[in-house]
Amino acid sequence: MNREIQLENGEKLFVSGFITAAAAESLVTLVANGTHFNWYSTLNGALGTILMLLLADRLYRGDRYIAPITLFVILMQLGLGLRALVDAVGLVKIPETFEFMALPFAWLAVVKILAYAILLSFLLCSTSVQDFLAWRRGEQVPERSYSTNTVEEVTAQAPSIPPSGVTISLSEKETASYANLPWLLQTAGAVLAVLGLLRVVYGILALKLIGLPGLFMLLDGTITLVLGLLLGLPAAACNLLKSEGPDLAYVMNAVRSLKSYYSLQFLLSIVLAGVLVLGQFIWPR
Amino acid sequence: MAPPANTEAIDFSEEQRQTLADLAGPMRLVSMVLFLLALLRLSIGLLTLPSNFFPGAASLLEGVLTGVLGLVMLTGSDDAQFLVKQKGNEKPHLVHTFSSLSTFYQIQIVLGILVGALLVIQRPF
Repeated sequence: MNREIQLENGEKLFVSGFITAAAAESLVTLVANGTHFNWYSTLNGALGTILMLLLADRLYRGDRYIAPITLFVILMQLGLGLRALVDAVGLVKIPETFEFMALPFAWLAVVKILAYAILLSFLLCSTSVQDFLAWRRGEQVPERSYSTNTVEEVTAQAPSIPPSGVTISLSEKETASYANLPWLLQTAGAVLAVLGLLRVVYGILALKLIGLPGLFMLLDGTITLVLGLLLGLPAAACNLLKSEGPDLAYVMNAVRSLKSYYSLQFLLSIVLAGVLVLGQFIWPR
Repeated sequence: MAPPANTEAIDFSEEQRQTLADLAGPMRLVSMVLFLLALLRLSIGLLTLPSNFFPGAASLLEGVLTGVLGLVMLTGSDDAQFLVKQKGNEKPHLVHTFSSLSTFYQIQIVLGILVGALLVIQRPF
């Protein structure tokens, strides 16, 4: 059963990663051509989308030799996205010969970069996806991957807190009050991390273009990113509570973890408020 | 005949009660900072609105949602406080604390996606 879940997760991530990249490529092409039509960029975008779908298809069929080519194409698209971003914000202009690479808006380049970065992280960092692809190639998948991928399994395997033996009797409705918390904390953390990363990217660019206000955005982004990443700790504690049941030891573990997070969130939010005041009222751009 | 057992009570030790009390404090502080951030976002929105409608309205919306986040966190903090103070009625307050946190993160996810989308759509510099 674990094996099936593992491979199913890998398949879901694999498909969603490629769909995200293809959708982003189509969106970028549509918007870019809707505002400034250009045959070269239309062709470039259409070919890029088709190429991604073809590569996904070959990988899915278990082609052994397509993985390095896929990585090369993703890295190339990331490079093109970064180049377009640098051009769109006016840092370094793209030469006239290669103008078809340019995008009319910076946000289009950011969408493209984010989509390909997500796909690359799925392919390189997710053991679920790697095992799924190995399975499609007909390879022996290492045993470790079946027991270390879902958060529930990681938590269950880790040298966790011993149960106190005192269980709080909760009805189904009462249990539902914390059943979604691990997922919500993880999702909120991921959303904050992406938002923080976005602000960091804008901050770096703004720092070069308009100076000091960019620094405030960079700080804002860094704090948001840190808060997002650290949310994984209470998420893990709540996950242990969900998977092991409402034993008092797990409830207190979740409470301690949340308390530590909120103490840190308070301090960082104060800094964030200071950054906001400085950036908006004292040194407005 | 022995009285029926109180099903709403949880037998926390003194140390556990202290830990719960320690949770309520930072939650309240976080809610206060969220109110402060909401006020700042609303002020920025009001100042920006006459000259630049879209960013101003976005900032106002962010301010309102941040304020709601502060309110939900404050409610959760009160429940955590009641958990410590109201002996014999711990279970409902524990459930309410968790429910408040679930609501808090649901709103935070919506707010995060909204702010991210606005950041991508409008060029911030």
